[in-house]
Amino acid sequence: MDKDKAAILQGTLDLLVLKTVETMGPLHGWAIAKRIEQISDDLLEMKYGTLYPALMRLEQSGWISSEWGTSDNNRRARFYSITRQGRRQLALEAKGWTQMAAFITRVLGSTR
Amino acid sequence: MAIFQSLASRLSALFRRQEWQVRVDEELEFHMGRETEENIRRGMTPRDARAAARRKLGNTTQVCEEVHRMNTIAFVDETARNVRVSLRNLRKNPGFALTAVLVLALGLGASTAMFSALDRILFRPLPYADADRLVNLGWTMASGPRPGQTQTRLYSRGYRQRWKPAPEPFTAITTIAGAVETCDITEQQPERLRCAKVEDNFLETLGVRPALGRAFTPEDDARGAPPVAIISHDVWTRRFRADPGALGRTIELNGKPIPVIGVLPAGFAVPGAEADILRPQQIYPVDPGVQGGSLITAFGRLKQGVTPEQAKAAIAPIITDDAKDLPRMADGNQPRVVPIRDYLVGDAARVAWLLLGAVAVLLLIACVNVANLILARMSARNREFAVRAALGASRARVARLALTESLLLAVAGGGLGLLLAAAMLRVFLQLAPSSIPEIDQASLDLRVFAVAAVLALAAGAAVGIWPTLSVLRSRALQHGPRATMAARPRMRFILVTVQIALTVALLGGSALMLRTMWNLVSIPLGYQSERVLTMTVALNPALYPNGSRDPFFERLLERIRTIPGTVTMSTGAPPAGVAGRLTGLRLDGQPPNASTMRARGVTPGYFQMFGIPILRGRAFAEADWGGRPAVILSESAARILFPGQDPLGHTVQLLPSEFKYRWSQPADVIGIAQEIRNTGPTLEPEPEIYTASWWDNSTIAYFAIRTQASTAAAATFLKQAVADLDPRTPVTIELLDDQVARQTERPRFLAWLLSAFAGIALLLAAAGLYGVASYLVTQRTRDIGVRMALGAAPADISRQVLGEAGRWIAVGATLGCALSWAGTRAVEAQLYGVGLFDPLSWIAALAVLCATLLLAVLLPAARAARIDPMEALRAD
Repeated sequence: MDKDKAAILQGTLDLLVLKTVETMGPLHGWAIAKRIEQISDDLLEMKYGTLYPALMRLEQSGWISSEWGTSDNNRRARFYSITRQGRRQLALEAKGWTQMAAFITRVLGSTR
Repeated sequence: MAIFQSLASRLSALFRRQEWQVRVDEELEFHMGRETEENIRRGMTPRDARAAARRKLGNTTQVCEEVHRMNTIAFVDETARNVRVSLRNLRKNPGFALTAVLVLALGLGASTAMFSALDRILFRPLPYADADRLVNLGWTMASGPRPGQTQTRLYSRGYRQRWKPAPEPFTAITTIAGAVETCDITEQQPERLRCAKVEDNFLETLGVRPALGRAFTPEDDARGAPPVAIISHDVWTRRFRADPGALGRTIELNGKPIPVIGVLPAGFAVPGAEADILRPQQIYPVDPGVQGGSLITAFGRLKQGVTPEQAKAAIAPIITDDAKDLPRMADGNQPRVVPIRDYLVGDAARVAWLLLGAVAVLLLIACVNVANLILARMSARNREFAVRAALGASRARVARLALTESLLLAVAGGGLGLLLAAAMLRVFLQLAPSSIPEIDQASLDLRVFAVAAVLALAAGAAVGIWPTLSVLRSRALQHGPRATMAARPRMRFILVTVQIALTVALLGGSALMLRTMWNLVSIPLGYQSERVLTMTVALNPALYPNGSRDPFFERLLERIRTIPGTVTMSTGAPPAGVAGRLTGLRLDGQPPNASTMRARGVTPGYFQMFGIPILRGRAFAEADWGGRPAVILSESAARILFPGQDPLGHTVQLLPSEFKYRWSQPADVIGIAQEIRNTGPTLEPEPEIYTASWWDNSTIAYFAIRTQASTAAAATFLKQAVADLDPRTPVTIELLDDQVARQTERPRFLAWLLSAFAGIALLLAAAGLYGVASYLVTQRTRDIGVRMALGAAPADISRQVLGEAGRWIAVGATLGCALSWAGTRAVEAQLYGVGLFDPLSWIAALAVLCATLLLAVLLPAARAARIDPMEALRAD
């Protein structure tokens, strides 16, 4: 694995996907993957394959919904959008993440 | 509910695995394509581009696996684990598990049995095509002997001219002639069947095709056409061993061989009657010179989208016209068009809904009770759930575990409930009033099983919601096990209160029905029914032609006179259950009176037999036979026929009518008999004329004896007397008391059933309250200890517990009164002599409730009083 790139932390992929579909509106899987990669300035090492089980899991939890549509290159693709429940979940997880990040930063700061 | 949604989506994923696979494949394919394009755009060769894309995507097989696992294995796995854990938990608490299963089984069993008993009346589709467009035609009398009385039949005389072809808005109208009559198969293996005479378009109008052969044609229905018969599926299998060759063979009916031209489909039933054989009416054309006609039951098929109300308005003129043929029917008859189901079920539907409502309340109470039990356990289990959460189980997962347990309980309860239902159904059928149609055919079939399964799952979900919600909301999962100690049992109080409220509704309903029963039993009937046996003898008209019937009955009467122990005997229809014949009247030789009245032929012993006092004049004497015809009037008949006059000395002539009454000489009024409740205890007596007549060539005769000997022995003698003369003649022997009781069987059944339900509900409520109160005492042991240490007397402590319980009871009872005043409206139609707000009934119901419930909290209250402050403070 590339040493400079961070592996996606367990459980954070959901957060990333939710945030992406929230800000970008309905997207297909490839676009979501690209977007996450782009935002991370290619710092993230990600097997795109893992994205799809995550998408289905999120859909089954009712946080995103999906339907067939036509992509920009005129092919059939599945488009995902965030649901109201998804927005709530995102807010919750984002808050948890911020708290956790702040906490870790503080711990790291205090022991330095 | 997110949890149920996710459960549903997982379940559907489980069954639509193929679909998911295709979707994932397609998405991965799209992704690969896009990535490859992108790589090509960056300058890679197509081959490299594809390889890079594949690398970036990772192992696609693994992705598919992952999705599949997510959808199926994980779910099945988790469910299996949940079931295992739940079973283990339940095994560890056999008392709880057993109670919960039993209570659920009770509720589910009663509901299932009730559903199967009432399904045929309320829900099961009728065996006719588009049955909702079929209606029964008749009229409602505007005046006459009983204004508001309904007639579900039409008059045959003008039927062809007025109803053929079918008037707007009907596509067809068809009829059954008269009553379904008995007919005998007189070939080998003779048996008595029921034959219905129907119009040629009968089956076509009902939308039924014969299973075999053909329906009747207009040629079959013409007067004088060769006789033909269509037999029921049952007769076909029984007598012809379901042989298709039965068509064209003959069946010997009342001594005449008649060709079989068709077989009815299995499950078909003639609406409103039981019939084994259909035959054409063959009553048309009617000779213009012939007077009279008969009553025919008419059914119509409405055009698409037409309501019975609209049809009623449309045919009003025809009905008015029809009434002209019935000279003694009063004017102003209103047409009556009722959907065929209402015609078949009648007012039994009201009772059916009442019963379903009562059993639904019982099921609800059972569910609330179990929910309460589960909640009681929850406070103990929150600790376990908190540990699970701490070990990484998601909230949804813990909630699913909690739900699994409830569903398991419900499935076990449902299974046991089915067994219970089979037993309960048998009891229901024994006790159910015979006036509820088809109730004897109820059985536990697939349809009932399906409903039972749905009920069980619904009950499981209902009782599972509470623990699931409490897990989802619980702070314990966040703050750890200690937090649960402070959990407040508020939900449990609410549940107990709801239970009490529902119990009040059942108790109130049952109290009202018991009062109704009491009122009915204490109505004086006006005649004496004790120790009286009645016997109905029906001769087969084919075996006993005109002229041979009266001598038969004469000989029978001679034999009955000699039965030992007989105090008195008579003939004549008994006052309970059999109505006299309706007849037209001519008074003192004047033109026929507009009114009709019931007439009952009796022998001299009749009034003495039934203890009916003769108020004026005299009773019949033996001399009245053969001498001048004589009649005795009931009080109301005398009042109506001879207002303000002394009826004695006037004459009354009964007119021959469509009801083939043959007694038609002017008869002297020789006496006035006291009014009796001749149409049942709840109805106003119907005016009646007693005639001194023998059997009048009728095929049916009624006999009654009052005996000093045992009634069983007398019944044997009666049966023997008939058998000595002709063993083939069927007899029905009954206690008059039983016949009288049958007139009140419906309120009696309702009173019995509602009381049973109320009793069970009360027991469950008491158990629930006991549970909560005990819990409360245990929970407050420390508080109580402190208070006692500070000088509170044991009595104060008990009073506190009782007081608190008293408050829940009060709240529950108040709520219950409000609830049941809305709910008992259903009972209103079944009440007699007691109002919906009868204070005595409600006070009694509430008194029983409070007494039982206070008894239930006495034990916990006593336990609270016995708490040792030292131990209480030292504990924990």
